[in-house]
Amino acid sequence: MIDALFEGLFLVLQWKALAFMLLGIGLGFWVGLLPGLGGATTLALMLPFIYTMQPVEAFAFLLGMHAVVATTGDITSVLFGVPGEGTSAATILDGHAMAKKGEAGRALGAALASSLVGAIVGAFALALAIPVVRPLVLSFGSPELFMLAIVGIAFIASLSAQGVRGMLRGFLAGGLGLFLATVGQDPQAGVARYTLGTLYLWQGLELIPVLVGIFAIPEIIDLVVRGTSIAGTRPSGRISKGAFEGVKDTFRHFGLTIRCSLIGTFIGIMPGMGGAVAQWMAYGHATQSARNAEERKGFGAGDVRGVLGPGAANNSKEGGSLIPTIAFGVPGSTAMAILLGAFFLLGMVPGPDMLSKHLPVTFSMVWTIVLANVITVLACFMFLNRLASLTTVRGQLLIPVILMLVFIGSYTSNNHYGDIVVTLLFGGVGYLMVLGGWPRAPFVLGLVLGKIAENYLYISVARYEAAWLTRPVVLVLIALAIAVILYPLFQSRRRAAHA
Amino acid sequence: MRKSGKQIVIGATGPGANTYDFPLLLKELLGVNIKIVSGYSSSSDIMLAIERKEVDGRAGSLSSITPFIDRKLVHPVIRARASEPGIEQLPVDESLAPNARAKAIMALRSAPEIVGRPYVMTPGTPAELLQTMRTAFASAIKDPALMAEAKKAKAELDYTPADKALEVMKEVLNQPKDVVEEFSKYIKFGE
Repeated sequence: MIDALFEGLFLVLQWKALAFMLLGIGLGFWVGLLPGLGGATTLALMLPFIYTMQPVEAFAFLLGMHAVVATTGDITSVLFGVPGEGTSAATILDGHAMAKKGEAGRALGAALASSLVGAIVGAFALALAIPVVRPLVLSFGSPELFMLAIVGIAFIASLSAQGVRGMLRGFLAGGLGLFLATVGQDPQAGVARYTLGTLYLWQGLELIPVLVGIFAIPEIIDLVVRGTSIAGTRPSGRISKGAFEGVKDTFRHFGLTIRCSLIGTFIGIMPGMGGAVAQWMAYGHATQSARNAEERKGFGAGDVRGVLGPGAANNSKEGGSLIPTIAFGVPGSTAMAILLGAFFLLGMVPGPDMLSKHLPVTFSMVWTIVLANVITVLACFMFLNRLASLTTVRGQLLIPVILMLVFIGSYTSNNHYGDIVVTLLFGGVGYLMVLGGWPRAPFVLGLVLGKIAENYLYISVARYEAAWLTRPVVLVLIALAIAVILYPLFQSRRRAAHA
Repeated sequence: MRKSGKQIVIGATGPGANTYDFPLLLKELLGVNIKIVSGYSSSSDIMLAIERKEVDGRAGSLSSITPFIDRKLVHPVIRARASEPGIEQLPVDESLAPNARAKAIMALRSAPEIVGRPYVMTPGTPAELLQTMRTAFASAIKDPALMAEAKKAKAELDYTPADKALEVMKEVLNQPKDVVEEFSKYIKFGE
């Protein structure tokens, strides 16, 4: 195992593999910055270039590119409130709020440093888990995956504001998300639900246009109304010198960063959970770290822990999501499906052999993710403070650029005008939610997990009827979901007892 | 399968997909004791369900199942009319049909598999232009350079001549009303 680990590292450090990885990183860096132009699209575009490469070089190129997309995707989330990727939306809640408080540099520093820690922890957790990863994945059938989605939905309790009113709003927002997840053709009976007679809605609501609308549009309206720069009237000197403070924050809350990294790795390993889930579960866990009601209120208003959690989970899940792809041939995301295509192009067959006979190649992929993140974060720090200065540029100059990013980002989801309509519609919903003090995170969590939960519940009942409820892992996850729901209540009781 | 009496659980993505429609006809028309569990997000997701013994098998194209056959995770047991080298000896669903109507319904379902991905031209295209295109496709498939390129890209090139594709289309479009009605009872999409 250790031999394979080092052999994998040496494979990536061969000059050709390293050169291709650097090329991939360069491409991924810019793709991550551009909202909507996702890592998956770029992977697909780059696929024809790997024909003449050796497997290690090809994967260094493709994974190097893919690994940094999540890292640089955080940059637009923090600076402009526009999710660079569907997987970096959770960073907006506190990252952009920090930017508006004049702490863009600190938020970016925290996002990047936690991304780096996440990638490293994820890779090492994965390396340690390889002997048990196959039985682990196989022990999670549809009933367990359904319950895992329920645990995710239970985080709505933590993502909602305190008190009965806050909790009610959170669960209603989550319910709206769950309802909207039912839009589209249902996979069980093939019935088109709530499609309003349009073909566009047959495949359901695409996540990117919804996320861009619900998060970016309210920020743009806010910027227009304020008539200032994103950071308001704060002096630019302080804004552009906070990056190192963000790094220190990562180590101040190191335990949280590690835990969120492990959440990301676990969600990544689970086939069928999708890339967008990990960040929200990590964000939900980060909010649980608030020690008192005052601190809890700070989440969503610029608490650095709200940046560290999703940042770490986003990058740690990348290593994890390799497992179902390479060991079982089941891609966990569109990007991984394209990577699976690369396997076949290179004449490799995903399967158990990738965890035994070809383990060094598997480890070379894990190392690529780690090295790509290290290189990207170091490169980013060279001009992070300059990027942060963008938050001091007058709103009138920034708004056209942000609007362009918003509409290009949403339109490239399906190349359909429906994407723009969805963005505008959910922009209105998002703005009303912000005005009324309704939390947006539970809504997104409901939307992301709704379809997953519905599918696995149907399969579980169709396959096992009620017997699935007695499976041991299901029982453990039921207990975990209850604990997650009751945790905020337990926290407030404990606070009251201390007071 | 029919004689064993044991229920076979088949994983599927959903109605309208071959993973669902093929076992549905085996169940409804041949009386095989099949339980279809649909809702899996992809064919590979079903393969994982087979691996964790959640379902017993699935229907799908040979090319996508071959890696799993090689790993001895699954064994091919029955095929539709369209064949591929290596599975010619398998029983064909239509040949097990109890009557002519059931056979026609199975043939209708498998028609797209024979035609594959057709290249079509707009109505009113001059006959000589159509003939030129047909000859070009027939010649291209014999071109060693194209075949080498396809091999490099790990792409499978199967050619169905236009006459054969038209014959299948005519067969589909000229089915009697009662067959179409019964076919629609089983094969549903987007209702």
